[in-house]
Amino acid sequence: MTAQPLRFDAAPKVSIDSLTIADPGGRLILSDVSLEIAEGTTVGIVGESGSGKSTLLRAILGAVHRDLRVEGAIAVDGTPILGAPRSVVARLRREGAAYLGQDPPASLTPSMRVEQLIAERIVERATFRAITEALHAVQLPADREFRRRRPYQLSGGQQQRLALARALANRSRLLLLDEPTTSLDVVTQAMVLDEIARQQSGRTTVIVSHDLAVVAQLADWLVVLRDGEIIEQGPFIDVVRQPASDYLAEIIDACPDLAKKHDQRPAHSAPGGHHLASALKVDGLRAAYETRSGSVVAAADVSFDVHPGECVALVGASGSGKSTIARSVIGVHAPEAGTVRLADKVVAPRAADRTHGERRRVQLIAQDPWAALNPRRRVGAALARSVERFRGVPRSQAGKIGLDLFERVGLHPDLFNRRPDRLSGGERQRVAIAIALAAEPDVLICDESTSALDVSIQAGVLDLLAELQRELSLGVLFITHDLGVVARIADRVLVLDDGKLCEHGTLSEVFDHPHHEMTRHLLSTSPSLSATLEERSPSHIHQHAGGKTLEQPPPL
Amino acid sequence: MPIVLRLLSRLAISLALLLAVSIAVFASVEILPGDPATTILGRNASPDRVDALREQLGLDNSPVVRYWDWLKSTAQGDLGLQATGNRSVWSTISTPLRNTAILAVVAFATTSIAAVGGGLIAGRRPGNRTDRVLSIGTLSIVAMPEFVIAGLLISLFAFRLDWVSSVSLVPLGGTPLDAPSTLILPVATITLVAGSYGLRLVRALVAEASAQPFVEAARLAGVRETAVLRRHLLPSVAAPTAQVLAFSVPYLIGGTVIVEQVFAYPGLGSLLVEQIARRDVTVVEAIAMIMTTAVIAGFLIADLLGALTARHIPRSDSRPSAALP
Repeated sequence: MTAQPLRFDAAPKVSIDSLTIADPGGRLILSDVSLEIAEGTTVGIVGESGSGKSTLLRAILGAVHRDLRVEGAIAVDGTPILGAPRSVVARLRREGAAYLGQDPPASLTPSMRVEQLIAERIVERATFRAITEALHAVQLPADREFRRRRPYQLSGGQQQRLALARALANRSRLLLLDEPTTSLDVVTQAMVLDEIARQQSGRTTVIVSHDLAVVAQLADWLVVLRDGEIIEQGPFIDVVRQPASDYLAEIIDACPDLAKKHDQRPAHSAPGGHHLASALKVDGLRAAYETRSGSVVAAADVSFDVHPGECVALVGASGSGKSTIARSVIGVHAPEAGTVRLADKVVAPRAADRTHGERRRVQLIAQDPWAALNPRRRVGAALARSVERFRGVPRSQAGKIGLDLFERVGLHPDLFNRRPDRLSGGERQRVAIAIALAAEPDVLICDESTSALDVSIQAGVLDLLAELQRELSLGVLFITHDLGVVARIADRVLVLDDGKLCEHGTLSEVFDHPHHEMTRHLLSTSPSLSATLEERSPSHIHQHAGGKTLEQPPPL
Repeated sequence: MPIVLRLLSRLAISLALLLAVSIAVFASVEILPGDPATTILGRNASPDRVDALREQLGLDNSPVVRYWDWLKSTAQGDLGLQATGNRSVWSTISTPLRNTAILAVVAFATTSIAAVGGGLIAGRRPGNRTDRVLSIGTLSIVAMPEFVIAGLLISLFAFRLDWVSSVSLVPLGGTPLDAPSTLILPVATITLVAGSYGLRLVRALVAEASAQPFVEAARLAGVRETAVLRRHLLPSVAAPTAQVLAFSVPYLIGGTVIVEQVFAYPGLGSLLVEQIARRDVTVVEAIAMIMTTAVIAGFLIADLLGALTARHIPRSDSRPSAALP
């Protein structure tokens, strides 16, 4: 192996040649993956969790877990990376590539100051000026006070920018992004994507995501990965317009999109045509939660209702108070004022003071079904126990009802006796729904219940919720920051801004004629695959002739 | 709760604990068979002489009165006279106390180095060969009683290799520091036991921190491993690690009884065993109280370090995210 000198001053090309990575048990994580990434292009790698996309990205940095078996080769600018001496890999990571992983703020060491965090990543001497430039590059202040701060003294948005500034501080021309905006609300996501887009010129970028709408905003070239194999690749627009594989077509279809509003059902009109009583009614709710820096108002005089068979979406940016409202409704957060009515009856603020029947009426499905299920308990047993408790039936019968519910939420009976760790994320969320249904609730509160799921899985769970809502006349309060999801499921929309309801109306009223600035902002920052495709006519695609980008000076 | 209030309340709890222990110590010495009067006069002394001596020593008072007298003078720093003989308790215990303190300080230093150094090396890449060797090695040591470890060290280094003496012969009128070789085997034994235990705890902390996204990010950015450990990993485990080390203090003071016995090290532990055999109530009580104070102080320090850890920097995602531009 003749190591060529690494030259990191130009946008490099990355070649991946028949890369196969297997775990110690012989299961293939990546199987014969070959990919040429040309200088200056942006490649989006899309796939579900477990498709091997993160493993692929990290392999470019020579970071493959020691227990994994690796075959094939990766070269950055002609320099082999896999199996290269440690010094070559270290130099690539230090000078040759910028890497940003999922949840960028988590990459900031809490004990270090802003200036130390940046200085560590500057390859040359980390002068005062060099740090200033790195901070200014992502529109952060660079005054002495700001430099002395630690990550927890920054706002969420500043943390995002700082993490990006750090990744870019070595001025490398290879940018590797692993789900950089997953778990962010749309507003922050838009900010981060804009910032990345600004930094892209003259760089070779690889972005890995499960979200096609995010990749659509950046990528020239699309790679679709499934079970460790590339099943489709090509110029982004062409591939998305005419997917060759059923799989990609399915992903495109499942992608939540503002522009894909579901058929509106007439809201809260009963089959008989007369007005129905609301299943849940919240009046003048005031709630606050304590943080280190004082009390934050999560709900200021919030009133709304949910009718049987209706899905009401509660949307807003992170920190706008959505979850606190949900917690107040189910009675685990004590509100300062206001009433909660279930079936037209005012209930006690604390769940412990509510009657069995009142507790039964409203059920919560959390974002993370992993945390909601006892890992040591078989899911069937957990479900049967909920049936037993809520319906007061004998154990033998509870198992039978449990199994019916299990099948009702689209789970195969074979999974009934598994423990949660043997189920996928989507299956676990279905179990959580089945457990909620065991109580025969009037209202289901879904707090970001699908935001941790892959898009195709998410689509299935959303369809299930819509079906249950229709067939069981369930009222659903769906809390989310994803307007694409709202378009798919909601009948009415409530927009929350800083604890205040700033807008409400039917789906088409809010989406087509938004009144409040916050609503417009949320709508404009929501990634929409169809809108992005329309914007990006073929003429927008950059032609990256070799060498053309080399002359550009490094960005400040 | 403000940190000052917290400190005061912990201090109050510690004092109450010390008082409770003092009652327990007094009571347990009280129920030991025999008393100093018979020990001093021998078994064949006439009952009259025993009674006279008991009265002279104040042993005929009720236990409550004697406890109160003892507590009062102890609190004032007066440890009183030996029950058997006329030397003051302080003159009896001061030299052994100093010797034990020297042993404890040296052993604390070596234990800390072993626990933190080994814990970092083992935990920084959980599951690699170094980690497995250290984890299994320390587990075997932790599972062994300390007198077995001491015995093994003696048979290897004193008898087979003849590098050091099997007993700690401190020069007359000198300190163990005048003959540092006397410290080697006792310190080695304590370090193996307390260090192994500490290493396992620190390793678990480091392994957990090693999986933190910011440590991983530093590694993926090509930061040198020494800098990764020093700048990114150590600060996040510093406070709980200090707590682990503080928890070893009680062992270093109280747990050395067996080690001192095995090596005949002239410390507090050896003195304690000797004085229990002589039924010298006042000396035993004094030693027990000194050891208890050290133990409680160790736990107090550990608790306070723990409280500081709890005040540690919050995770970033507990904050509201970006505001509108």
